[in-house]
Amino acid sequence: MNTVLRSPFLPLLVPIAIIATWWFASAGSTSVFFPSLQDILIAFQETWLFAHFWSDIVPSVVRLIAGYIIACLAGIAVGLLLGRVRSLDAAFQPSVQFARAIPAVALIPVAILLFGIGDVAKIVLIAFCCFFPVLLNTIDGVRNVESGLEDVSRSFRLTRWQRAVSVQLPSAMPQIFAGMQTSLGFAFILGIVTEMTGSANGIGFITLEAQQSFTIDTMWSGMLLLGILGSLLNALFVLIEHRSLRWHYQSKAGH
Amino acid sequence: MLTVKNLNKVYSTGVEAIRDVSFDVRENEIVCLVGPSGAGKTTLLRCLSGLLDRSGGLVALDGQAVTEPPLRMAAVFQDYSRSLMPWYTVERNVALPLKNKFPSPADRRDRVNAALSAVGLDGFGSSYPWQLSGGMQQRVAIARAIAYEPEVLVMDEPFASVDAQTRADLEDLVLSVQAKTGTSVLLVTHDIDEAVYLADRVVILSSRPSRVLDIVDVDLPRPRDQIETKSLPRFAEYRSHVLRLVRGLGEAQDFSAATLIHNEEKTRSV
Amino acid sequence: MTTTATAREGGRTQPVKSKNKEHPGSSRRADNRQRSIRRVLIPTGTTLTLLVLWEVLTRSGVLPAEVSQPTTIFAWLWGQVGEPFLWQSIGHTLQHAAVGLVIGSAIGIVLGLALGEILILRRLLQGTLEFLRPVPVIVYLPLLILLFGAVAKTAITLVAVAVVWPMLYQTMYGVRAVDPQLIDASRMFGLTARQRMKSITLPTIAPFLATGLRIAMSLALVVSVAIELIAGVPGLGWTLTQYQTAGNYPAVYGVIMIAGALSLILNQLLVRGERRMLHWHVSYRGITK
Repeated sequence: MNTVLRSPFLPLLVPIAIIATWWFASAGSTSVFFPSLQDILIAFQETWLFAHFWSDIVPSVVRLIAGYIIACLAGIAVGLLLGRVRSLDAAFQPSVQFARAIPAVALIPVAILLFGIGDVAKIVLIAFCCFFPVLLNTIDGVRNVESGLEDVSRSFRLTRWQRAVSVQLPSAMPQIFAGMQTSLGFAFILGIVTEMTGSANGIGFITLEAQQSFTIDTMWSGMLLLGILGSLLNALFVLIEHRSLRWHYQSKAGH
Repeated sequence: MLTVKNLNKVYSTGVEAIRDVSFDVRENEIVCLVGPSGAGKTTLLRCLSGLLDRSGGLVALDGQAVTEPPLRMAAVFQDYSRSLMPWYTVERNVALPLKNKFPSPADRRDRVNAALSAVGLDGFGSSYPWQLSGGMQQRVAIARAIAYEPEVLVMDEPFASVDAQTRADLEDLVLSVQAKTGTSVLLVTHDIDEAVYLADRVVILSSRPSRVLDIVDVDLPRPRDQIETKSLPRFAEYRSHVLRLVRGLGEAQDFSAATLIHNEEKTRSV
Repeated sequence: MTTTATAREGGRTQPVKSKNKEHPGSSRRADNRQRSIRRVLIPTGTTLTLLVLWEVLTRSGVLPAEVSQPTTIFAWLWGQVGEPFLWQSIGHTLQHAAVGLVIGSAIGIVLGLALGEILILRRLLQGTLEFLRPVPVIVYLPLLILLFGAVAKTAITLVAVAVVWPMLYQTMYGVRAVDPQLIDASRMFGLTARQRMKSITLPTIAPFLATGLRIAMSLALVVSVAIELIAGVPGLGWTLTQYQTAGNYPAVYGVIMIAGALSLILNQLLVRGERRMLHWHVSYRGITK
């Protein structure tokens, strides 16, 4: 029993079963809504590899990453400031809380009004929405530095900058990463939504257009691609996180 | 060189932590502060290392009033797991505070290596603190303090979180480092044996609010040795004198061996 | 020891007046005053300044005409108080969020309990779940529009799917946080399975569920608005696009403010309820996202 439980193949069982069931159950399907997996894969290959690769996949990913990185950098910088300067934090607390409460997608019409439907509008929107989780987690993180470390950095007369870079930010990093992971999810959603609401290219655009024009194979292939992409991005993030926070995980495991 | 005069500390909550404490630490001297647990020893140390504002009185290092942590003072804190940066290697932990004191990187590197080898941690520079045992981590904290080349080294219950054997090793490490560098050391502890074993003078504090009950000159030969020094009759005399004071003036003086041991265990286990 | 210090002696100092020699009571009062300035005056002052700045910048034409003035937006909002249309939109959105939240939470909690308790199930499904979790529900939207059309059912289904995840994971963490020693002890004392559930498992899971619910609530609102906006399901999202295409700028900002306020109010309600029900608990547990 135990050896079965520990087998590394166990977690693979369900995905294989799902795919196999899907494949055989849908084989030769005549349903308009549920084409056979084989047809979906053919559409996938035809659409994404590599007909729309440069024209749609790459712009989607570039916009997403650009907005995301801007948000992370800005969120960490502003978060450090608000987290360590109390009067600033008090001053902007209501504005920040309200801005964060707005459902991000509700801003899409405004972004379209102000920036049109170009790349800039999308990047600004992604950046705006991803900003808040990083910001709030950074504020929280840099404020809760171990008091012992605060004593050390004061008694050894570390400068403000040294404290920020060597003590406060590293110590807040686990929490900042938690915020960044939430933001990555936001970035992905916003990326797709902006493409679905007003766009000339992108994976979301192609997928929704396929639905509207009843090319159902393509729609399915788009959903498949988005699913894979979302999971891959998240997996990549977790990998980077575990590498960067090796000290965090290992020091926790040791005690 | 470190002077404490009529030091007072009253917290904004109204709690009086320290009342009129005066003593000084001379050059090349080890002074131990002992007192019952919760006596405000840590508060006192934070006040005189400039980490905490005092309510009254004076703390001066070489005649200059201490209002912020002085450049010529280094500190070792009680809990090594909360005073070392887990995201930096041992080397970087030791090197971090040196940047503002020693401008040349090569010089800094030498100082880091010298300090690490002085505490017996050669070859552990690129390890992370959490890969080391508790005793070794506290050695890193000591290395960081001595690399800073302080004139006064303040230590807040530095061996409270390690096991008995390691504790003895670290006590001897402090003695040998102090003998080599000539740094003045001010060490806070609740362990009376440790205080007598290490100190040139022991300052005995009362329970809260802290007052100085007595200052005892410990005239035991140096270098000291865990077995020989501790088996000297003089050692036992100092020890019971200090213990009597720590247990409180108001208490009956006829304490039996049983309560003595019990009390000692109590202070140890805290 | 450095040579510079050799000639110095302790005690050779003049007494220096401490700058903090204040009566403790008066400093406490000063602290309180400072605190109230920090808590009330600075935040309201800054917020008002920002609003005035916004007003001035839009009036003077520094900001483009597409940015409405705060006074115009508030005037528009005030004018809508008696109109049923906006209230209906709010009602639709709340309905999508609430129904989806209930369905999704129920599914999430049941799945979470099962996965937390049954090891083999966890081993079997964890990989698949880890793969599916980061897939945002927006991905399923085209299919649902195809199947159901732009109706409430589409929005509710997607809200439910989105909500399942935080509830599932929080429940699972909660179940696994139950102290096995406590379970052993309670069995020794002969507690029945039902008593164990009531006195040990539920209290342990409750804070995790509360956290999950807060995450799920804001998620439900975002997903509702998003689906309404993209698919044209009646609700705040759809209202927003209508005002946008009609070029009614103050209305666009007004609706956004309503959405923000809604989310703040709901969150506050949850926090209040949580505090009341979990007052015995030291702090919130679980993930801090």
